[in-house]
Amino acid sequence: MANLYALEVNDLTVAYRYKPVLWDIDMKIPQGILMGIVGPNGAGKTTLIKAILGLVQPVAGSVRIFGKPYKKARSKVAYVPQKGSVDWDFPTNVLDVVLMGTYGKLGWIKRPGKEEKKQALEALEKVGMLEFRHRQISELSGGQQQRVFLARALLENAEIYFMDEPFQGVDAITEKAIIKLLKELGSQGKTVIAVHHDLQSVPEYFDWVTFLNVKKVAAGPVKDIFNDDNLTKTYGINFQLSETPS
Amino acid sequence: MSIPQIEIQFIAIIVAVACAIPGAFLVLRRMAMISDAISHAILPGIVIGFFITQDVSSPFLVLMAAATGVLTVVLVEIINRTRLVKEDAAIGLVFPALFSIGVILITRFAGDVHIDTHAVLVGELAFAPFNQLIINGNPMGPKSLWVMGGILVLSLVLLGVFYKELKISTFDPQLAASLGFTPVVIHYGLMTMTSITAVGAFDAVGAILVVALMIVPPAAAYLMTQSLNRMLVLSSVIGIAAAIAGYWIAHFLNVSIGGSMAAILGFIFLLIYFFAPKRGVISVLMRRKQQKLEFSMLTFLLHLRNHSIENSNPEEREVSHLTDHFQWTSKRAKEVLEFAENNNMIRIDDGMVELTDKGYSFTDEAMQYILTDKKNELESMKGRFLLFRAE
Amino acid sequence: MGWIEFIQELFTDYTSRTVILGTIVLGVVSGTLGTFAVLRKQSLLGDAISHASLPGIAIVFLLIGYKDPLLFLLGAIASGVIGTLWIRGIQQNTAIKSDTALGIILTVFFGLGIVLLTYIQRLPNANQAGLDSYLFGQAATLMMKDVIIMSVLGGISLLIVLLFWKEHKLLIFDAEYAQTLGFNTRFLDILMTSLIVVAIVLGLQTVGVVLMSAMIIAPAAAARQWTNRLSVMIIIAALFGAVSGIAGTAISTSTKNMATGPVIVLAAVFIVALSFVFAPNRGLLFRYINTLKKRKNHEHTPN
Ligand SMILES: Nc1ncnc2c1ncn2[C@@H]1O[C@H](COP(=O)(O)OP(=O)(O)OP(=O)(O)O)[C@@H](O)[C@H]1O
Ligand SMILES: [Mg+2]
Repeated sequence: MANLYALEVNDLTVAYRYKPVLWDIDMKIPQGILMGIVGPNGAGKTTLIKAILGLVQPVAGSVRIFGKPYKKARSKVAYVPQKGSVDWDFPTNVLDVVLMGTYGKLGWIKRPGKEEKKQALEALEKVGMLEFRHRQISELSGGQQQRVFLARALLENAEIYFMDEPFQGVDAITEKAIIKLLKELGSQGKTVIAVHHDLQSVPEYFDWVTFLNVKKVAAGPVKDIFNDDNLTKTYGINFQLSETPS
Repeated sequence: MSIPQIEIQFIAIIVAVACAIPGAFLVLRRMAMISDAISHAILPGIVIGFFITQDVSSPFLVLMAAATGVLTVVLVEIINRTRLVKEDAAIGLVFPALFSIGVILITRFAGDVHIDTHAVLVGELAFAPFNQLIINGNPMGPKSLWVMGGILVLSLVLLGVFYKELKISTFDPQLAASLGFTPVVIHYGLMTMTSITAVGAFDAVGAILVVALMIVPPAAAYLMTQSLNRMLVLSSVIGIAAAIAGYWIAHFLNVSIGGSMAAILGFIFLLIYFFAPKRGVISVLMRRKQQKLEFSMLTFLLHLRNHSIENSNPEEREVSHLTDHFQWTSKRAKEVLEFAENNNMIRIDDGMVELTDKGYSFTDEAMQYILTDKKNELESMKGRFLLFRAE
Repeated sequence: MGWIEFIQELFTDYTSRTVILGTIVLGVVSGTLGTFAVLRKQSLLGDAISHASLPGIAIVFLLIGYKDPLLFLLGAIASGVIGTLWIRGIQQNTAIKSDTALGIILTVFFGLGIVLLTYIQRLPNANQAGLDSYLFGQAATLMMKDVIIMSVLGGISLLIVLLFWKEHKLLIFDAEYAQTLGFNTRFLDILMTSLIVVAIVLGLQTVGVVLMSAMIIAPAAAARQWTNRLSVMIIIAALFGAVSGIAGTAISTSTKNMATGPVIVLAAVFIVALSFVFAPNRGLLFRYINTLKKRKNHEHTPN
């Protein structure tokens, strides 16, 4: 398995109606790396993740995860959506949401039992949310919501994790805690692909980076390709890393 | 045609136009269901007003019931603000409650009120000519004709005076606010006018048909035109057509006039829904199919360009490569290939595909068009390809 | 007649027992599935569906010429489903906004239903009497046969809710996530919408097409205030539904000339109002007291 790519995207093109959002994207991501996807608002970052996960239908192209099409590799994939994508006033508590991470393995009809609950509590422990397990989800802060989603994904026990802006609305301490967790996943040989907005922290957080703006501008190890030239190409304005406000 | 028949159709026409005017704005402002709530919630106002005035067409009753309508809107907004339930649930709680109160009042005091619960829903247009306005002992035509006529005139005057404000606050609320006319005033003005119209038309067409006349013609007109002026005119025309056709069908089948008008509106809407030239379903689906084909071709051309002769292995340009690389079915691949060839974008030579010069320049242009938003320079592409025309 | 005797009679008298049983089934089913509808923000879809079911009932009568509760239900379901599909079609294929789509289907289908009803009334068919009680509902017309049909259909619906409990919960909370886990969300969506249609249609004879949507919304909206757990919310909603059903039926059947629908709806909305004010944590009174307390604490803490 070691020589397989964790993620392989070939000529992926996605359009909403007539409007092209992703154009002819190719990428080959090796296993065990942390990769950031960066690009301006509306660049298609969320769409890329959704297309990989089969949530939007591409016009053309194919996606392979560990050499298999998504449908066959589903159990190896975990997803952390943008936290604004759900209604946090839904009547349920933290533990219950985290348990949703086991639903995929359980399949239809079967309910989570003791074992699943134990795993859920462990995941909550890992993200530092154990004491909030009975908290109604509407009473969480943005950072706590994010951690709940993270715990839910951890429970999927996947090989590759897709995260849409996991640091959005999170304070500095939580951000550090989350990145520590991601690095831990990386050290276990898992692959993490996360949409990221803060360009400053890219070199510190990620091994690889993908610059995206409808077309793929560049993808590769941070030390090779994270430079002003690529940033300028992606963001369209003259970019000098040293001057970006944090 | 007898005089009452003419009177009935005349009332129906006036009601249709009076409803279409506020209706157009309700549809554009996504407030269709609010108008449904208003038309139901005015019932207790009408019943209580009737206890006091003993006259269904009294202006006092109209005002009082219209106030109930505005009250409904306020109540929904208050419940919304508590954030205890979502907005749609708030609407769905308030108007059934008020409507229930109205129905119970009617059934409890059935002897005193000359409205029955059936008429509440669809009106009793057929009886309208019997309630004549009498001045100095002379019949001056049905009262509801005068009431609705008055409401229509008021509506037209307000529309004329506040046309600009209404238009801007509907299409661009932020601009409206920055220009100084508060959207709140326009909003409540529209709600008041909707309530007054609903009350005036209630007697003739009932709670539910009022909504049909307010919502369906503007929605149908919306599929035919994007200009506000034309939408107002067209929805009036559709309303009038449904009023006359509805009346005669009801006449020959001996069924409810109100119901028949709503059903005809539904039929007109169905036709426009399918066959409207640009925004009808058939046209939309055909356009989407064409856009998809054009888009697929562009994807394919772009792929060819990226793997042009100089810099890549020839297998990327094999015809057979299309199906497995793009995950297209062979039928789709064939369609795309033919489309590209017919447009002289590609040459096929011995199973190998190659971009023509035209293909090259087209791909460049198209990419530029999509990646930048400089529409003016590339305006000519719109003419040639549907892809670049918004819906 | 005193209240006690009245209630005694309700439960001993065969007819009223039938009616009460029927309204309990109705309340439980609409409370349960109403919870799904309200949480999915489909409250007003319920209004459109219930109005849209009227022509189905009338057409079935025109076809068979007598009143058959089961066939009526099927007709109502068919026409409700057609209405729902058309609403989806409008939303997906045209620029018309969602709420306008609801308004169109609601009024047009209802108008057609009224045309058919008034047409039926002109027929020399003695069987048609009472067909228009489908407008505002008449609990007194419930027969044991109706109640059995309601119980069977309602029971099946509740069983499906129980069986697909975690799937439904996941679908409402995070449909995309459900899809990435491998659940067929289109199937689940159709299943849930169908269950909501069934719940609405079951109440038509008792509450009527005009007001049935309130029975979908009100118990769930009230229940939401008392709990933060979906399972408890559904149980409370079912309870509230049943209570408003019983109260409404008792009042309307003991009063001459009173349609059941409006009374049940008022009972349900009354429970909502009480819940809005008095529910612990979320209720307005609780919030008010809380702000008062906070203000007091503020005054006491020296700056
Ligand atoms: N459901 C949709 N229908 C139509 N257009 C869409 C839809 N979702 C996204 N888009 C458009 O596609 C483009 C890419 O959107 P996407 O959400 O993938 O961007 P993003 O890179 O994630 O942006 P952000 O940084 O704001 O999250 C945007 O221009 C957006 O307007
Ligand atoms: Mg995004």
